[in-house]
Amino acid sequence: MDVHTNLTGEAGSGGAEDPARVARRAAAARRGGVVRTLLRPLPSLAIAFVLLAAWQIYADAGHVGDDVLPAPTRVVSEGWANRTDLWDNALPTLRATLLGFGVSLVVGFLLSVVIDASIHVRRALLPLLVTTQTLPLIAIAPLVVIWFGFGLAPKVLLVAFVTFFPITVSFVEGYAAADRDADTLLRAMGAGRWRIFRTLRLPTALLFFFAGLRIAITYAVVAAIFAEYAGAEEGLGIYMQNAKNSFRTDLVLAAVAVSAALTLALFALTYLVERFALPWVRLQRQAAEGGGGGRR
Amino acid sequence: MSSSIEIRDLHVSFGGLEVVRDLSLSAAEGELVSILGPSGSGKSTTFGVLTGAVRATSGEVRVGGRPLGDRRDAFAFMPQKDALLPWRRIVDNLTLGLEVQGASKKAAREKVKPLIGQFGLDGFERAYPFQLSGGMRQRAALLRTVVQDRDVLLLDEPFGALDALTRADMQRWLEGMRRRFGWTILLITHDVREAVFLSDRIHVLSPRPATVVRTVEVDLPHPRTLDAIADPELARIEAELLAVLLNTTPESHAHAS
Repeated sequence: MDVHTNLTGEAGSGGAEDPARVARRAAAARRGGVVRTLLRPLPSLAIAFVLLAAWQIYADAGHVGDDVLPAPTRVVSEGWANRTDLWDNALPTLRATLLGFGVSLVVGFLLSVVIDASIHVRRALLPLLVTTQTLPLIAIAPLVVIWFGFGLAPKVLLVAFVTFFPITVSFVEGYAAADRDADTLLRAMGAGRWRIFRTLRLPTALLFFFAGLRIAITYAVVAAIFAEYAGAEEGLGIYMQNAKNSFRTDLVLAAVAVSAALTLALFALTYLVERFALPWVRLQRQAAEGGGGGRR
Repeated sequence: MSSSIEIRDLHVSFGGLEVVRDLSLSAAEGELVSILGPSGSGKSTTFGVLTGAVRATSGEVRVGGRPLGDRRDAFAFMPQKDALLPWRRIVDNLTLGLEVQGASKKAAREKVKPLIGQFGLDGFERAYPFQLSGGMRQRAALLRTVVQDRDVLLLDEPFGALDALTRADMQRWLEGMRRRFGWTILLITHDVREAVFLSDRIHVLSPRPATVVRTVEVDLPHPRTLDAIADPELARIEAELLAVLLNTTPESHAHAS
């Protein structure tokens, strides 16, 4: 098919493709994209539904008490009844998550720039950064709380600590993936280091960054909850702990569901941001997916 | 803006490895001169010296009759792969060289604008590179090169990655365009027919260390058309070049002995 399109596309006067046709193809791919986007989560939802149904049936059978394994319906209804409490505790968690993640983005990016600037810095820093990822969070979290108190600071620190690494690594790998020919070209044009960094290396790295961002964001909410678990005045972490101590398993699970929803929402947000930051990636993906049908 | 270029007694060594030896070649203003040679013969290294990517061990380069010295603005380079940046729209790719030179985005666009039609890119200014065909991408890469207004264009196998039909089409197109604009062009190629069809002069390089083993003047009138391909003189030159090339590759020596 590729050979065919090449020949028909090229044999004419220098192979000018009709811009209107390109636009139509893009529009068709967009329409197809909406339907596909809506259909995509269906299989996952079906599996989740089956699992929840099995859980419901087992819980309803009455082998175990409600305080051990509450039915999903009970989790939902109790969660709904306590929605104000849940919301009041979700907000501080979200705030800690976003602040920590913001710090993580800045620190992660700056580290990547420093690492990229010199091979010596890279050799000195990378082993240390890897080491930070080997430290057990379960031991670190209470220490951070001891050092920085029960306020916002230890949460922000822990979220940043847990999430900066994938961001730094994705940037560093992205810089290294910059096209060598484009690098040669820019040098021949007289571009200096800084120009090449912002014209070629950084835009290349953005592709990798979004992959790292999605990995990092899935840890962020959990890290915030972990920090709250270790000691906090408010937040989903401390809410879960209190609910557990008073044997309200249903409310623990409701808080778990809220934290999962937060993570999923943030995860989805990365796609939205990517769409605006890298419009060409989506167009290219659509052209690749819709290319077969849309071409004729 | 076009000028003549002269390379005299160029030597390049990497460590102990001699890559270019005693290489001399020249192109007068408005000429297209091809450098023809086997792969790995140091053609791209020679371009590297001109663009400043590679340091020559010795030798002299003159542009417009004057020594090049530390000048970095004499050449505009076009690599084999188009190296269009996929996240920039075509118009922003075209202005890249001008932006690096320090032009404002607006001024750069103004300068590129009148050329877009002549390069067959009308209506594609806002498209991304992946939306263009191979031939169009190559024309965009060439436009990005020529708009820099440098003395000499360095084209490194510009049509090497294209299919045969598109390549033939692009060669005819380049023949017309360079006559119209009067560009001085150094063209690296290993396509004998392409070299003969496009060039005023062809330098054949030996395998490493590269040196010029034969210089052939192509004395056919411009603009050359499809008729030129049928010209017996062209066929004779092609045969001569092939004979030189095949006799200088190490494999043929091995077969002969």
